[in-house]
Amino acid sequence: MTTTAFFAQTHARAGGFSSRHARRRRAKRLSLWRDSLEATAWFATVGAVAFFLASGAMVWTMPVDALNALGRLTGIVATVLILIQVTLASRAPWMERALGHDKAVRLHGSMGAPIFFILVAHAAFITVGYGAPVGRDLIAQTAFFMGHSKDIALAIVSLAVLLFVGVTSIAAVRRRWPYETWHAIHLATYAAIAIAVPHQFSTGSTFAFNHWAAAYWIALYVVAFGSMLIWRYLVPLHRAIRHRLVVIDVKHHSDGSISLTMVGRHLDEWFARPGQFFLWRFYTKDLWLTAHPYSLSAAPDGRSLRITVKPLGDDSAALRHIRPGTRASASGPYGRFTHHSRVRGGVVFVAAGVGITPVRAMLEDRQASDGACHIIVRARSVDEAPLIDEVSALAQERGARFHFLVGPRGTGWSTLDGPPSLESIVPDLHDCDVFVCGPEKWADFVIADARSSGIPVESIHREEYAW
Amino acid sequence: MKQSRAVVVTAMSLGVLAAGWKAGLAPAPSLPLAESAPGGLTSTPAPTPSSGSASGTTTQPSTGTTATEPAPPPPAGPTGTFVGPSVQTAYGAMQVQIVVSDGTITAVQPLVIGYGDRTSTRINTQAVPILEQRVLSAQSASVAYVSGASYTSQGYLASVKGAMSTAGL
Repeated sequence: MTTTAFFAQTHARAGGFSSRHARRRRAKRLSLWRDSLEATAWFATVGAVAFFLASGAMVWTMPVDALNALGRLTGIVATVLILIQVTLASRAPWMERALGHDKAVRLHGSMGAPIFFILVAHAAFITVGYGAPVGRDLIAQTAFFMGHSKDIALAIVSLAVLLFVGVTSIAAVRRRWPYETWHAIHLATYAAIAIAVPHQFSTGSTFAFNHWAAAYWIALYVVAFGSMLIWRYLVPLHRAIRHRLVVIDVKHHSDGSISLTMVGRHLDEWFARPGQFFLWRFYTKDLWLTAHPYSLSAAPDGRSLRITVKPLGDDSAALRHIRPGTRASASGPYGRFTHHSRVRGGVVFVAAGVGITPVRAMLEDRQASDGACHIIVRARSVDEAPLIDEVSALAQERGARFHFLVGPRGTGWSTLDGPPSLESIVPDLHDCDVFVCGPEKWADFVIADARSSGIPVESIHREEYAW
Repeated sequence: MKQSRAVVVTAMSLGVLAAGWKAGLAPAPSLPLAESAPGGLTSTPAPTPSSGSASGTTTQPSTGTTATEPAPPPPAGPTGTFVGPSVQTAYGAMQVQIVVSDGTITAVQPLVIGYGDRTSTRINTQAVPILEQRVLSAQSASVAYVSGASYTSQGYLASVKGAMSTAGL
């Protein structure tokens, strides 16, 4: 071994200067990208409001002009928010790269209720504003709209559809129905958005008489629905046709988990980082309707993709129907749970249950040996931990420290008589990124522990399966 | 968002909003209104419509009255300029006069079109030429309203209808 090679290696083992530097640069770029997207969302709203102001909306001659202005403003703001919401659900990589799939999905969901109330305010202000000067009350004016303007009648129907979608999206109602039913209803939102478009251009004073404003408004729709169409429909369709995934191997592990290996054509063209997940669809009688999020449990090698699942609840029986030869399709990859997201020198993986799968894939990556690497696996008993042999073998290969905490649950994330905190296991925790994957409540404990040791949010990475 | 970036984004947003606000306050392009019944013999000068609320550019229009044929050759249909009634709407009075030549409407000229505020004027400058076009091609007041301008359409067409019946069309 030459001296240079030796130095290069020691540098790599300690999380050398160059990789730290690259990570810091990458983190900076990501922060800039994320802020640019947030700024774009603000500017999209501000631009629409500016066109509203430019239409002379704030020049009032009658008291009801104030109501009409407020009505128009709420309508415009609600629509921009809806288009942002559609973009968040589009799975566009330029957006997911910055936010992560889980955060995008959560943000999408949290916008629903506020948007709905703004839309109701829009309808109420406009109806009162138009009805009051001619002495029509809310109901009479609504009836007048229904009878005299096809476009506004359609918008009223749209609001009614959104009301229905909103009610079914309330957590309590949603839980009672199967995901497929709820999702089908949710798709009615597209129809509702579409039939509300004509009234924005024909009766919307901001856009009806100003070509620039109309072009701007159309552009917002094109970006949101274009992203949706491309990334949610066309790309997955193309992937399905091009790769034609088929299950080639089904392996039952002693702990009850199942590893599925899929092969397909041209898989070397489908780039995924170890640690990412796909939304999988298996074409069996019970499974083809729903896509399930599963992480790759092995680094993709260009010829096959492997996932490991632990059958729990509803799907346990259904998963057993998957045989070699079962056809499959997938969309993805998603997630920021990769070496690419690291910002510090070392890395600590904390996993429980089937949460070990992305960690297993990430250990295959050579970057796992770049800087200190600790793997902490929590299990109730040795027989219940999936893939534990593979993980310990890989840990040895990567020169990583493997900590296996077995025993009954304690008060925190650790075992009853195990080490009380991450810091007690990993002395140089402050120089590490912490990757957590496991049941939600358990992961909350791990993150609280890491935060109390002073680990900043940016170096804590959590995989949440959301879709 | 990083604080320094947030400051820049906020400043730019306020700039865009201020520009929009300023554009919205700029004087509206005024609607070209016709002088009432040129050459026509206006008889009964009626009360001016909704005095005060009509925009300042309007001349004293006279309402719902006749005009007679100005030229010697006896035509098959009515010829002349006929002033329609002033029709009150939620956004001000609407009144037009029609120019008829041998029983054919050749022009519809606005006399009073609503309030002169910016929003109304913006709507009306778009809507009035469309309404005139529709009336001329249909030779009727029963034409489709212009979307986004239903009050204007209603008042305008009612005034056209009045003028037509005065002309005996």
